[in-house]
Amino acid sequence: MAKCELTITIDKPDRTVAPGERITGIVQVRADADVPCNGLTVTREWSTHGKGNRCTGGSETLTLFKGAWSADEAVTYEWAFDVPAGPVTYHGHFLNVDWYIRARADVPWAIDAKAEEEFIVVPGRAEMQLGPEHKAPDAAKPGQASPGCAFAVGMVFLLVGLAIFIVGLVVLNQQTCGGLITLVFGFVFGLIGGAVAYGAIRNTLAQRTLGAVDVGFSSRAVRKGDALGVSAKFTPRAAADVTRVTARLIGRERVISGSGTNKTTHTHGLHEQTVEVSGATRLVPGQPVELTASLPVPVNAAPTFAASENYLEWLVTVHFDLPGRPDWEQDYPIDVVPFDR
Amino acid sequence: MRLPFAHLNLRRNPFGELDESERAALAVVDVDAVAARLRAGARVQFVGDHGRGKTTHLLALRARLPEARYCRRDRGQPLPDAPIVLVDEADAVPRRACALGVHVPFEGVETISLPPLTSARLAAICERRIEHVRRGPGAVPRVGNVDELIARFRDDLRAIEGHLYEVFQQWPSAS
Repeated sequence: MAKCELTITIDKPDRTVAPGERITGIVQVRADADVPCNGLTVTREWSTHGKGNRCTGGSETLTLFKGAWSADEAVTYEWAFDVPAGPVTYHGHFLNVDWYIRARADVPWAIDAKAEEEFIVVPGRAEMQLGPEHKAPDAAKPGQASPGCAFAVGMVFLLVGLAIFIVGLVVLNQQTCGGLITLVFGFVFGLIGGAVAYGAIRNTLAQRTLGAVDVGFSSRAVRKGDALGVSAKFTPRAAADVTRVTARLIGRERVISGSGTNKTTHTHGLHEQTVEVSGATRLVPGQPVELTASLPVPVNAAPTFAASENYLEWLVTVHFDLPGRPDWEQDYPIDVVPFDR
Repeated sequence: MRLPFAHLNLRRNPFGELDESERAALAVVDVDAVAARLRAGARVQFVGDHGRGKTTHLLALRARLPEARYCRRDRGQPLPDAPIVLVDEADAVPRRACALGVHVPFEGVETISLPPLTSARLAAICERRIEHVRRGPGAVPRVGNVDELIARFRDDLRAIEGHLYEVFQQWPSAS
């Protein structure tokens, strides 16, 4: 069978480029027989690889040739692409984002010849894209699902678990082995439901003491090495003690592999640092409180990335520890944006 | 910044997630006999737990049979309009030539045994995965302890892949 071989060469030896620059090179074709070609294309695109399902984006394709190559012919074709504004190259544990030049020769009635080479995109000075699924953190809304919905689901689980528990009690009275299993199952089911329902309304309960808590940030888009200012304003409704108030900056990779019943989420922590916003204090009803703190963003912080089933996410968790009362805790997503310092 | 896994003469972690076409191309399975039976109108099923090779067999059949179409019922994909259908996570038996991937067998459908995970087969799988991501000529890391892996993980290939993913993430540079 006629065969041809493709080789990609990138002009820049270190293969490192920034947005706004051009990446250039050649594709060399070597044919060992006369080979017709319906199209020699070269594509510039990024792909994820690692533990999550693969995804690709930012594709731009050039058709370099259509026709036929002769036996023992070596032909070179030049290509050039603009370097887009992200996402930047990232090599992590479960998640990697790499840019590629991919060449493909469509050879009729044969397996297409293919080749690929990576290049590295580093941050530029302009604003950069953070992946196709990225949404700027909404300053008004914390990053959490609707508590009403979670409460309803939790209550359904709790009531079903309770019903199973009662059935288990009845069956156990008849001194059968199945009764104990049903009892334990109902208890665990109800416990999970109760925990979900409690988690959904915990902040609402805490706000009976704290009043509405208004958490603000100096910016929801920070750069590595920055200091992220966090403030919490509230007017207590009741006298109460606070053990401590903390703000925790968390960076993590989160990727999903498989699908359906085989779907698995893999999470790898990149950074976690907690700062104390306030130590032990006593709240006075009606007296406004404003707490502030500064969270250092690590100098090697990887930039935020969001694509299908592949995420590098940063969030701040603000936590009020209220002894003897429900705690107040809320997550706020933030962006770490790539920037050339 | 360096190119990924260049220190191992690889392009990426060989035991990372594959896309469907890579899975079919790298499968160490023999589906010739099943493909012939499907062309003759048979209805067969691969039965097993997660990570035992059901999807890999179906994807290998798709690569072998241009007239066949593949779908995943657990993703809500409808049954394709094709003479032969390859149905992953099947919830019913189609009334035409089909190969099903299921956890619990359907009655009246011929069950095809998934091949056992022998040392030789596991070594071949590892070899193929590593060669697939080879960066250039020269030495690349090898998986030498396949018997230990089988003793530890038995026939759960997905668990073995997960273990080897971590091994390659932490594989030290030769220098």
